[in-house]
Formats: sequence, C-alpha cells, structure tokens
Amino acid sequence: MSYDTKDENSGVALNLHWIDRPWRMVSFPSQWLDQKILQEVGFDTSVAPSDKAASDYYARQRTRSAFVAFEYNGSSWNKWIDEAEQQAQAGAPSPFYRFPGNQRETSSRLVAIDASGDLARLRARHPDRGSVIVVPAVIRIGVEPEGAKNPRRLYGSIQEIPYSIHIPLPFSDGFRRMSGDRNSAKFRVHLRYGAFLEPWIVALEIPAP
Amino acid sequence: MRIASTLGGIAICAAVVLFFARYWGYLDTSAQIAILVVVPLLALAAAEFAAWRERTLYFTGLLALLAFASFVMNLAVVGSIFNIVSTERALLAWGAFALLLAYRYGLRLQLALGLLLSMGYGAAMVTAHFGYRWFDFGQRPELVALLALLVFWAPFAIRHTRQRDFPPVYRLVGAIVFYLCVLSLADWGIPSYMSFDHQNIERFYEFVGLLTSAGAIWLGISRQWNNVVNTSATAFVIFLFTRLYHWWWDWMPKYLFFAVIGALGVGWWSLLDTCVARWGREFRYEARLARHGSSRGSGGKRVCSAACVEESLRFSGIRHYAYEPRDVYVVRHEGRK
Repeated sequence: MSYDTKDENSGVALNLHWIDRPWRMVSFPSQWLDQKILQEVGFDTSVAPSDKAASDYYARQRTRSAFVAFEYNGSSWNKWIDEAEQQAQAGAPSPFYRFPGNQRETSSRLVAIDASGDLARLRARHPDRGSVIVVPAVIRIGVEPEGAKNPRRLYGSIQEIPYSIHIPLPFSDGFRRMSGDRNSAKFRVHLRYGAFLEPWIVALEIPAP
Repeated sequence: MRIASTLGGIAICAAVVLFFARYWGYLDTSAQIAILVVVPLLALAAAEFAAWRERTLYFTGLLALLAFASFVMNLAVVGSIFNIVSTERALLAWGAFALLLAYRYGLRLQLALGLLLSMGYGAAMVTAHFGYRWFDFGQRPELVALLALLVFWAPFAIRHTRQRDFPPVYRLVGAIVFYLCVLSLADWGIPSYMSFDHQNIERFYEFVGLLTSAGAIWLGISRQWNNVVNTSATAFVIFLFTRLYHWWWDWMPKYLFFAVIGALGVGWWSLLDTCVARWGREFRYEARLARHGSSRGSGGKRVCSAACVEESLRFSGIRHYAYEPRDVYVVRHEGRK
C-alpha cells in the first residue's frame, strides 16, 4: 500500500497494490486467470486461440465486472517472492518482476489468486476472511501472441479494482506526520470489508523512526 | 448574456468544489457529512427565494446550478468517504435532481443535464445488467442512440403546457447524442452489436447518418423545428464529408479535394436555404390553415374561408396563390405556386 495526499486535496487515501501487476499497468496478463476462470467470469471462449479469427473475436469482447480474491501474506506470496529472488540471483530478471530488490520489505504481499462472476461462490472457495479479501474488479480477455516456446493462448488481466481507500481522522493525521518518501514509508494498516465490499480502516501502526 | 452567466455559474460551482476539496481532510466524518447535506439544501432554498423574487430567473438559474453541483459533489464525496463501490444509480439520482430543478423553475440548462444523465443511467443500467462494467456504457453507442431517439420523441408523449420552450431542448439533446453515436460507429464499427465485418458496419452507419440527417432536415422544416434543422444540416455535412474523404482523399490531388469540398459546402448551404425558404413557407401556410379551422375535403382539397386563406398567405409569406373567389373556398394542394 502507498498513501496519497495533495496540496489541492487535503484528503488522505491509501492505494492498494498487488504484486503480480507492476504498478498500474493495464492489460498485464495474470497467469492464474485461465480459460476455465474466464468462462466462469462470463466470457465466451468458444473460439480457439489458434483460430485465425480469434484476435478479432476476443477484441470485440468488452471487459466484464467480476470479483477477485486477494490473499495476504500466504503461500502464493511465498512462491512468488522465492521465484522472483531466484530469477534475480540468476541475473535474468523477468519483466514480471521488475522490482525484486526490496520486495520482501516494501511489498503489499497481496496476491490475486482467484476470480468469479459470483461473489458467494468465490467466497465459498476462500472462506478464510482473515487472509483473503474479495473485491469487485474489471477483467479483460485477450489472446497472447505465439512465442518461441508457447502457442497462442487466451489470457485474462485484472484491469481495475477500487484501489483507493479513504483515510478519515484521526488516522489521516498519522500519515500527515510521516516524513520522507511516501512510496517507501513503512506502516501496517488493519482493514475491514463490509457487506457491500467497502473497506474501512480500523487500526494503523506506524513504527517509530 | 446567457452564455456569460452560465460560464459564471460553472465557475462558482468549481470554486465551491475546490474549496471543499482543499479543507475537507481536516474535518472529521460527521462535519464532512453535515456540510455535504447542508450546502445543496441552502442553495436550493436560495434558488426558491430568488424564483419568488425575480421574473427573469437569472439568479435562480445560477443558484439552481450551484444546488445541482453541490448535490453531485454530495454523492461523489459520500461515496469516497465510505469507500462505496460506484454504481450507475448515482446517475439516476443526479438526473432526477436536475430534472426536478428544470421543471420547478423552467430552466433549460438543467433540463439538458437531466436528460443526458437519464440517458447515461438507462445505458449504464443495461450494461451492468449484462455483467459489464457500468462505466463502459459508452462503448455500445447503439444503445445510447436508441435512448437518444426516445428522448427526441418524448415531447409527443409528455405535453408541456407550462414549459413551452422545453420540447426543443428534448429534440436538440436527442438529435446531438444520436448523431454523435452514429458518427462514432461510422468511424469505428467494432463496438457495434452487429457481428459483421467492422468495415461494413462503418459504411452502413455512414449511410444511416446521411439518411437520418436528411430526413430530420425535412422533418424540422415541416414542423418548424429550427434547432433540428440546424443540427441535422451540420450532421449531414459531417457525414457527407466523411464519405467523400473515404472516396476521394487517396486518389485526388489535395488542392482539388479541398476545392471540391468548398464548392460542395457552398452549394449545400444554398440548397438548404432555398429548401427552408420554400418548404418553410408552404408548411407554415398549411399549419396556419389548420389552426384557423380549415378541414380536409375529398380529393386532397382544403376548405376554408376567404379571410382564413388571406391571413394564412400573408403570415406564411406566399405572394401568389390561385384560389377561387367564393364564400367558401376550395383550394387544391397542387394549385399552389
């Protein structure tokens, strides 16, 4: 998470980041969003990716509203960070992991793990509310071009989630008092999500400098 | 004067919103909510007071615009404070409030805003119903075009006995939105519901644009809807030039292309002027006769009194006319010159 405040706007907001999308890059393929999940989200995947008309066919499909499950500091995070560090040591950083240096320290540790068009079904698959949050999202479908090793395949990407979380008083004063670079600031935030998937802050921990 | 006051009203609205944004972070949530609720109510009360005091509705319009902007800010900021996921229902609330202000005080700007927001809500509701993001309603222009046609024809269903200047606003908003939708599809056909090749869809909508704008010009002249005539004439020119661009741009020398375009433009406006003058006179004459109580007889004849015919001729600006001098005159349609 990073926090945001501007001179023209005295409000303070936290921006929710998750790890498999470098910053806010749109249409970045999520590897776990396979054809089965895309179908469940509501996309029509009846045309094979190898078909000549596939690019046009999937370009015509609009983004869909769905729900995405994010796991906090779980097995998906451990797998991701281990893989990223191994690639960094091997000297071949993948474009997927462009910021491996201090990820273990500064990352949100939030990993997108599943999606569905049905909120209840998704929550039933991930019942642990302490480590998995479910948020509304916008998902795009596309065809990944043929590579040297991989054939053409369908991909999905999370195009948008409601990433900005308003911070009211008295918590916002804690952020205003913080000095230094906003993006590398360390803090721990406790969030709760309501019945309408709206988040609110219940506690803020800022370590002493 | 009206344009200057509208721009002034918009500037005041921007000032209120930016002032609130500058200081709201230093207030606790209850104070923020209190301000958000009180400001639109105060602006509404001031508009009501101004409408009671003045006849020109100048300050009423400004205060109503301020109330509307405050209400928009109210819902947007409350959504932000409580981190509520945005839905299309905000458009419904804003549109309903704008229409309420428009009909309460007879304000055309609020009516146009209300109609645009209502169309947006209708399209967004359908979009969300089918599982898409509601904000993407503009990506299916055909849906918006259909709603624009409904708005265009709405004055036939909704009688405006008090606000006689409202039906032209309905038609103007409907026509502009419809032409913009068709123009966007003529430019890029992929967002269409039709599953043909996108180039065929683009050609199809170019001709739809040409035909509908030509038809609307005729309709506007016949019913004396000046804003429909002007809007449709502009749309027709844009559609025509788009088509000519696709036909001629690649093979014609550029100087010749622009020379032809210029000549066609002058010719088009001369033709339109002639049509408006001639058809306009005839349609005015017909309408005046009908208003004076003439009735249609058999064989395409009109039956009316001499005084009625003379007054209608004078009103419509027709100088020469063939009719028989009797107490009750039988005027043939095809007999007019």
